[in-house]
Amino acid sequence: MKDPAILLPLDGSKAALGALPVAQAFARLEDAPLRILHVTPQALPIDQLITRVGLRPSDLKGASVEQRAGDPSAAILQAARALPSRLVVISTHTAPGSPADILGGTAFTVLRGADCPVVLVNPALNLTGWRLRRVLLPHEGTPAISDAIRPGAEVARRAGAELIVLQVAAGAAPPPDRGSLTPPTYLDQPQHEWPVWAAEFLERLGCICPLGSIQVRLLLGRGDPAIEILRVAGEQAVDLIVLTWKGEWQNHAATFKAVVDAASCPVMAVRI
Amino acid sequence: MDAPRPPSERRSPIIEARIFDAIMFDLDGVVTRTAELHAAAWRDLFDAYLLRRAAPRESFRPFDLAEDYRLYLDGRPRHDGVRVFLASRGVTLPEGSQGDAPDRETVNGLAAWKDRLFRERLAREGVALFADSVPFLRRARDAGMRTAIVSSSRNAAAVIAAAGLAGQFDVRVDGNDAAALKLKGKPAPDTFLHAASKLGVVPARAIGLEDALAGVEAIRAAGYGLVVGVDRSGHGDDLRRHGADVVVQDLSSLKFAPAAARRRRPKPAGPATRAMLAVLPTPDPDWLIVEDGFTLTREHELESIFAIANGRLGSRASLAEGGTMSSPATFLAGLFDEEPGPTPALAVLPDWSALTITVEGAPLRLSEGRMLSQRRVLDLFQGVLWRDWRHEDPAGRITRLSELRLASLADRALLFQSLAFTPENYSGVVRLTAGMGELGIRRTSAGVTAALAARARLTAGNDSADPPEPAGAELTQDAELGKTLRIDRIVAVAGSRKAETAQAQASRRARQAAARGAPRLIADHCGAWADRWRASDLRVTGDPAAQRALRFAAYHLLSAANPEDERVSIGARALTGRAYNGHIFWDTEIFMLPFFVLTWPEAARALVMYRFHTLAAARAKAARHGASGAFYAWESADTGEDVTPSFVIAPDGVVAPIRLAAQEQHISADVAYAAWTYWWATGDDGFLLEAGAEILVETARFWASRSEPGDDGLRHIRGVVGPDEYHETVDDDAYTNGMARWNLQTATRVAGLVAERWPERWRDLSTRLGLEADEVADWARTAGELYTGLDHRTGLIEQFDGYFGLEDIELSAFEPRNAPIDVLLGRERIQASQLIKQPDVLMLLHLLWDSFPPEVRIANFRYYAPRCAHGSSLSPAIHALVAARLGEDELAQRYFRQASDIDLADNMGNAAGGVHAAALGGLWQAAVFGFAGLSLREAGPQLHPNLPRGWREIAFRIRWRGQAHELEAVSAPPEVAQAHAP
Repeated sequence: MKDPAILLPLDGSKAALGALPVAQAFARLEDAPLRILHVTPQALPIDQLITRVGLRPSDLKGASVEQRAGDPSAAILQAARALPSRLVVISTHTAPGSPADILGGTAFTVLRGADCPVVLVNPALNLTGWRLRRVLLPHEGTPAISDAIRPGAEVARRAGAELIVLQVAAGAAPPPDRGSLTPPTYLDQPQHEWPVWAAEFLERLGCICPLGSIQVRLLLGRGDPAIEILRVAGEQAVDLIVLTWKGEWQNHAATFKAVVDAASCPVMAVRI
Repeated sequence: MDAPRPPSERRSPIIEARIFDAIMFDLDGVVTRTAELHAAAWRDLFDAYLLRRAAPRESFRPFDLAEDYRLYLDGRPRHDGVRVFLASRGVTLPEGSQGDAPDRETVNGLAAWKDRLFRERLAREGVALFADSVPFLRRARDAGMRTAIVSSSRNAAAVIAAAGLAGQFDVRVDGNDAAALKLKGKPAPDTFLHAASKLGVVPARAIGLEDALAGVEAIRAAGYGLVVGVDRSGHGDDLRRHGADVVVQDLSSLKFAPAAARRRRPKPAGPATRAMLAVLPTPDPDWLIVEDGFTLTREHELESIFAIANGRLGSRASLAEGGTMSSPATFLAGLFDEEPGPTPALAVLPDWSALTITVEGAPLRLSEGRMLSQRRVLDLFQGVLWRDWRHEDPAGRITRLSELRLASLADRALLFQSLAFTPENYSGVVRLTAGMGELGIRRTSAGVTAALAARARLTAGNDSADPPEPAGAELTQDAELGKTLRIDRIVAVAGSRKAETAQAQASRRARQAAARGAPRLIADHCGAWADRWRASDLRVTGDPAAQRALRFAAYHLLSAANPEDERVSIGARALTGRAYNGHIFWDTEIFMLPFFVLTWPEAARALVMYRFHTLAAARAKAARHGASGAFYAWESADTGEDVTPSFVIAPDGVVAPIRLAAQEQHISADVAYAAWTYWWATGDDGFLLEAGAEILVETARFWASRSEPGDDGLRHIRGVVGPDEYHETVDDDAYTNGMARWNLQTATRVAGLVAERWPERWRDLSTRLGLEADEVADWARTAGELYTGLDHRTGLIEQFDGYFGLEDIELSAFEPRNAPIDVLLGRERIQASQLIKQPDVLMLLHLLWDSFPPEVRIANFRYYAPRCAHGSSLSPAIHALVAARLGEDELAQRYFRQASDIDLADNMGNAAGGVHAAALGGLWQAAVFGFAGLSLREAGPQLHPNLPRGWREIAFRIRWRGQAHELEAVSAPPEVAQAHAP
């Protein structure tokens, strides 16, 4: 079994190249090989390939480049499975398209089809020298999310980053999963309830998603979840937001879309 | 506690098939007239023997067929009978051996002789039946009861056959069984306990019928739920003195409640349980809280919900083998530790129930291998926690574990655990690692030590052995396919300022309990619970979920109180969790105490006395706040000092000051209200003179000093927090002012009462407290001048000065929601709104119902109920109560369900830190004062029922001024309410 890799698809655009510092950082953190993939109908000599995708020789330290033919999305997904990949790091857009779309066509297809988490990088952000110091984990309090966000917690642990867990109290019915923990229904005496609730929340998270020595902070927001996630991400200067996604897109995932669209840092999408 | 025992012989006794599962019959004298045959055979024996003995040695005094038989032989095993009777004649014989011929002058010889004489008479004369016995047996079976014969006779089978009753009893325990199993004869409880075990019923749910004094004692000692003395010979008073609850001369006078009320009996627990444990779960599902399977993240909730406690010791229901989310904790009531702080918290004792099991070196844990099934059951009726777990380890070995745990209600120093282990598809070496002997100590920063000591007994098949002394920590045993190993552990807990003393006491208590045996401990415990339920159960017909919730509430309340200790009270989460640090709030006095006052006055007294013993701290706090009298702690631990944290860091990062210690002043009136309620309901004048009057005086003084004159000519109480804690530093909070006014008026009344009835005591008290001559008159005047906030035009009481001017937010626009409204809207907006956390004005209406006219009650309910966000777990039950009293049936039922769900709902997570003891007390009050409409007046208790849809009947007992009252309300048009003293 090969070591799972960090997969970075590059199509030769400057926008795609914006994900490189993030992919490199993940490769270092995960101690994983960085595999750069270019999909092209015609195989190129290596020097031309590097030039084509915009890499410098120094960018290939700890990385390798390969090219595949065919449909870009299908080739990326195939490579992700074959390598296998621990993460796919990909720009949200690389070609000028409809600005109303939150994701470009390739990124969307990869997100929808990947078996591993996908880190979405907004090419408009300048992420040169990107480092992982704070990770934001929005969390509804369900065991399923605790399970899904293990990769986010793991990367925080490896980076020695602080993990900020955010639960947003919103006017909605409690999640149906057994063992979920929403904000306390009854706050009899806040001086006792808040510490107990916070400890319980983190214990429930930690029993599913081992936190080990990670420095964890629990925050409770209120109102629209997307606005709160973006607010906290901005105020706390987070470097990565870990979001779960149920795989449904049309008329769903409003929070996910809004955060990916407006986040000022990469977003790790984890399918649940 | 002389709790009323159902049914009373003053009326035709009615046996409720719902609460009993089996009837055990003595044979001779109850079912058959073999007593006459036995008596005659004994006479033949002793007259022949004594005559033979008299000739050479002493004078002959013939056997007295009536007296000698009744006093020395009736109900006793044959050998005992020989010994006891002969001892009464000053004769002692050697025991001889079991095969001694009838002519041998030994105990065994004479016993054989008597047996031969009896059999000859039986063959010659046959056996007669009492005319009432067979019809009664038939009715018992028709009512769904299981039946057993429990006889000391080795001839029971022959007698039953001769009487034509073969096959009519489910089980027979006779003299042959007793000999084979080494069971002690009556009056020891062994044979009755064995019969219950064979039937698979718990003793507390069994009825025993006996005509003999030794038999009655045996049934009582076995902890049966009902002891019926059958008086065939005019010795009813003796039967009562020896323990009969009910004495009947004729079995036809015993009636059964309609069999239709009986539920289908669930299948008994699995074979391991049946084979090994001395007690089984109560079969009626209305008494059980059940959790099947395993959800890791719910463990903390379940540990709280399934906790066991006895008012002194409380222990969370953590998995014995531990797990990722296990949070075991055992508490000793009143044992607080200042460290690690910042406020004192109940000390957590060493984990007595931890048990590590390995099979062939592999640990048996939920996380290793595959859980095939798991069921946890809290048996409310018996106060027992059950767990049944089947597990397949990674090697494919399937093991069944059955565990029970209890905190003895009969002896509050004891905890007990029994674990049965059955290899289902393998044989192998099993290692049990558990604390044996001295389990450890917990020493607080104040220098108090709690010590735990254990005694264990391992049973493999029919063999049992104590671990060697000094008890080791590991037991290694070869486990055979299909054979059950059982380990019973008795743990004693003692506390002392000296560690050695605590350890010695704990060891001694554990040793003593072990000497008496686990069956005895279990029977005593179950008997104590049965006694409690006789006094405290509340039956609801027509709504099983409500029934279970109310019993769950009563279970945790009964588990939380200890009538033997006036120095402790009940914390917000009782003894079930670490949350709230064990601190005591107004929860106890206002929400829990009514349950105790009316069903367990001894416990209520101890709780109120805790406040008396902490008066000194309350006086000191008043002085610190520039007031007189007693200002009780908002949060109190062992000393009565206020231990409320001064700030909290909320999860939004905001550091919020906590002003409750200084501002939530109504606590003093709440304590006064509790003291008054206890005295008023019990008539305990000793309490009034020793403590109650002083509490009322000191709290009245506090209010007199706290109120200040205003420009309007009235007096005002400013800068407080009422029960609605969303609004701080308010003036003239309705609840605070209303209760202060009541406190002042009641203290005035009590001062007058004591001065009139016990003038010397009043003089002493006045002198001791330095009461000025005109102080009492000032209280009455202050009460009359206190601002009430009542608008006579609208009937509305303004919750506090300026409340009606705040933003009126439509709460329904935020429903449904998954968070408290103050979290959603933020603290500042909430404080500027009319949304309230919990009832304030409505709380006042509830406590002082008769002080307000109906139109005021309804107007305020309609105004405040829609504005209440129920941010407190105390809120829904009180709304249910008030809504029910106002005839708002649908609302009342909705609030009641909300209150029921606080701990029992599957998915709330609220109970992780412990059950909400006050909400449980509120739930009971909602049923009793709301739905049953109980009102307590000088003339006695009365019901004005408002039963919700689906409830066909509510029935409960209360004690009112020393007398037991059985109360029931039936929902049938027209609704009927009855109250009578048995």
